[in-house]
Amino acid sequence: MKPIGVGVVIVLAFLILLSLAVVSLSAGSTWIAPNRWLTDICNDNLLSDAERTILWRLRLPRILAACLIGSYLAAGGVAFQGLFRNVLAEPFVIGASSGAALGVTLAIIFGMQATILGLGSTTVMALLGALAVVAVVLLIGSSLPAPSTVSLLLAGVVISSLCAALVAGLVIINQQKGGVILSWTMGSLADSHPAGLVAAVCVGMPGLFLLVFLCRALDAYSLGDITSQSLGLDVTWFRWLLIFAASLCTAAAVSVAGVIGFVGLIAPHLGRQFVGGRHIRVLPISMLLGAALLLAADLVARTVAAPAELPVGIVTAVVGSPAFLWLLLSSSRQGWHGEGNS
Amino acid sequence: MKPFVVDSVSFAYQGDAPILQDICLDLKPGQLTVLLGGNGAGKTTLLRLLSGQLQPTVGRVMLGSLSIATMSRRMIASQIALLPQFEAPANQLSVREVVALGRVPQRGWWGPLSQQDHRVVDEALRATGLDGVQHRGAGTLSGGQRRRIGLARSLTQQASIMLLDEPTSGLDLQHQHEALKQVRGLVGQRAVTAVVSLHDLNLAALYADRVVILDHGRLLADGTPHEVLTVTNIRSAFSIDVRVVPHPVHDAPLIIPILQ
Repeated sequence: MKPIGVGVVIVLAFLILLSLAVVSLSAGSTWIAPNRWLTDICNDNLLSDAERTILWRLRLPRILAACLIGSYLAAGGVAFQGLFRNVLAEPFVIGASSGAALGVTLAIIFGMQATILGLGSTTVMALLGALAVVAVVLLIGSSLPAPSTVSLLLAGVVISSLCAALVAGLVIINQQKGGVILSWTMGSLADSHPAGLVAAVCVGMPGLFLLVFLCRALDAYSLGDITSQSLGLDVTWFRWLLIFAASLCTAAAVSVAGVIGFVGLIAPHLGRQFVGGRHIRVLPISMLLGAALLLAADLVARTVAAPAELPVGIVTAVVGSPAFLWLLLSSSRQGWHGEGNS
Repeated sequence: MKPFVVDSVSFAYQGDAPILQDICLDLKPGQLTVLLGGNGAGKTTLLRLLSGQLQPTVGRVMLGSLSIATMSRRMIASQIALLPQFEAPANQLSVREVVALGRVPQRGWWGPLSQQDHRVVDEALRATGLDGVQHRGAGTLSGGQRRRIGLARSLTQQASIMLLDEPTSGLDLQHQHEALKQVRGLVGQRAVTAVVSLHDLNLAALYADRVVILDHGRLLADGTPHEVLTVTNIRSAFSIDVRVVPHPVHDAPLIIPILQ
């Protein structure tokens, strides 16, 4: 449990991320060797205009999107796993993804074309859908006589199921647009554009800063409600703040890239293996690993069947499902299923 | 040290029968009070009321001139340490990290611990015999060792009032006495107000300045161990026959159960 040098781990994770970014920038339908584009940065005559467009207009925004979304999903995972005191929780457990999916479905079906603050209607609707569902879950949770993490989880499951049923119903009624909706709900970084990234930064960063501020409180919260209250934590307020912060990160990720599962589940778990359980250490390492995981998954998604492209959500699901089962088995052995007290 | 007073407190969960009725206690600094009573007598509820985690249905708990109900969690935590009966195992944190969380009420939620904080943590780890396992995962230790982690964290809080809910449960004989000696020492040296719930009447007799017996939510007896630990009171609270004799070594009653 004694963490090996946290700084060393973070530097290593950053170097892995950087290496993946270099490979991602070079690989794709056209291979542009790193030495060529590195030289081109110093000498602008080496690459053709088409190659420069591919590198800096198509691949770079996508790499930045993968890093941003991966780190948001990982941060959301750290927060929700802390909230539910369960390593099997993930950002979508409270229903943010299904709310976003419903928002996007409505935008596509009703052919919304308007842009708000430079954001496309699907992005705005994804954001609104995610936040609306989280707000409803919070309202249900807060109206209960004894709000608990379990009641929040159940409220999230119920609202998620409702949203999923509505999406399925809308897809069946509007079959000509069903394919578009389905591809969005699979998750993809193909449509990453700078305006979307800026919006994701604006929405997600406040959530991220709030999470950093809540790290030590998360450590105390892991000891149970009664103990954390005896250490001065107002558990009710803390839960709302944590859910709000995590939802901002999740909603920002979903609004850009759709529904991408498992990154928020796996990255925090990997992070804890390297740096121990203190959240102030787990959060940054998980964000770096989340960014690296999503970048690697996106690299596979756009090269494995090139020139065709797979939705990145399929890649994360194929890799994540066995990883989830492994987590389930190992956490059963450790007996850490979340204490379930309120 | 501020007076800590339980003023005619009753408590019931909404719609349920009362758990505590009309409890009056004046808890003094430098005094170790042991709460005794059968299962469901109201000991844990009383400790949670004293810590401000539950609010009385009737009456109030006063710390100095302030009602606990009006104080913030942080303000309460800086003065009252509570060791709950059950605690999540915190598998993800090391023993030292869990114990260091006891410094939060003094240091706040942000910023690194000072040298002084680390010294307090070291001292609590030594006092509870956990210094050898301080870097191990808290969840990998035995139940008794985990109980000592909770006790160490409560000591680290350096509060003027300590509320300990069955601190000796799961501990072996040596550590039961070590834990209570530790509390006894704080009561003597730093005039801490300690309220400890126990099930072992002989431990209560040896370590308590004052014994309070609860019976079905009511205060059955309150006084020194000699005054309270009588055959009649024990039969009323626990429905068991005992013989009470003078302890051969210490100035305390010795309670011997009589098998029927």
